[in-house]
Amino acid sequence: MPDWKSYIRQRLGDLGLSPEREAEIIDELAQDLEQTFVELTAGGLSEREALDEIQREGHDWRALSKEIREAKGGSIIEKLQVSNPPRVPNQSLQLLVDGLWQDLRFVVRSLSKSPGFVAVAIASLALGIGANATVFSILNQIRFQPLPYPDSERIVNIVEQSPTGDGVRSPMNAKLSAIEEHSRSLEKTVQFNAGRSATLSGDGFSERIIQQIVDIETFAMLGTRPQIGRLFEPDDVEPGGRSEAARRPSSSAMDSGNADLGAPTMPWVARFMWKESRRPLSASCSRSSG
Amino acid sequence: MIQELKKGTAELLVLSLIEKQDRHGYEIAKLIESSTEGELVFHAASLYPLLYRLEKRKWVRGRWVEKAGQRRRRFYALIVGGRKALQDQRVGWESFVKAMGRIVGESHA
Repeated sequence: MPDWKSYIRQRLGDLGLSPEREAEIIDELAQDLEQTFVELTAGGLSEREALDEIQREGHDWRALSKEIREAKGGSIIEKLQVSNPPRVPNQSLQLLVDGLWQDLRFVVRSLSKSPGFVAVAIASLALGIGANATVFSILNQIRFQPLPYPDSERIVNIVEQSPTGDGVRSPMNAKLSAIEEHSRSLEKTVQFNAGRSATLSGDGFSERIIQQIVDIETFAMLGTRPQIGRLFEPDDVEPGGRSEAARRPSSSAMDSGNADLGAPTMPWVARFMWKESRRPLSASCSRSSG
Repeated sequence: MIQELKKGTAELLVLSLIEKQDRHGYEIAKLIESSTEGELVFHAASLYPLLYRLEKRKWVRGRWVEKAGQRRRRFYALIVGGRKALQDQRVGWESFVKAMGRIVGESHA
């Protein structure tokens, strides 16, 4: 009589299960074949004929091995857990790759049968992701990374559309005054120009700064204070007026915050630093043209 | 033709055979063959994966039983989930046979 366990083990190959499980399955299948073999020989067949008969029954061992793996093995993770022992370290990875590849092909086949559904799903995802990104961007600016001013959510930038429709620009003085006069939503309007780089120097001190021409009330409107010096006052903008808006102290004094305000060497300059800024911001404000 | 029908009814056959009595795989296969006078034959290649699937679904429970003077064998028993499934499949099968009988079993002159 054949050694049925070896017979089955050779044909099934590795099932990717734990050794105990695999032994149980082989034992069970071997008993089945052995009993069939015994019945056939008892019925008058020779051992050779009985073996041929069993082989003729059409066992597709490869398919059987696959079915047992699927039926017994459970999920890919479970397969990995039971087939992970050092005995066969590469088989778990092979199983994982095979499983993922099968899943991927199944997904592609399934989706290709319903292109309409795929199109709707992709469009829905695109819209959802777009809407989500937009909402997050707004929330991020307003709630999580607001401008470094008190009540920054109340600050708006007013622009007017170019008559030719090819861009936007800041309103002119008269128009801005009219907006402020007639608006019931805006508490205060101020003007400022786009910043430009400049070099602040004097007394052996030199620093690259951003310089902007701003309305005299800009900083009061923003609710911020200069780190050193004072805000502009109406006299500062009068021709021939005072020129002590802020005096440039030495570099070390500015950094330490203990500036000794000496003689004014650079009029109408104020230095602002906001803790919330990504980098210390030195803003220089020259006299408004009024 | 009958082999095709067998594929769709294999679960019902196996569950029915172990409803009243625990049986091992070989016994189940032989009972199906003898009860259907050889019309339905289950080989190990199809029977055991089916039993393992039913076990995984917690419809049947397999356990090794050792009896004096005999080799140990793995017997399969129907458990709660399997009884419910068997009941559902029986109802479905009876409805199906009745529906088919209304058309196939009558002559349309």
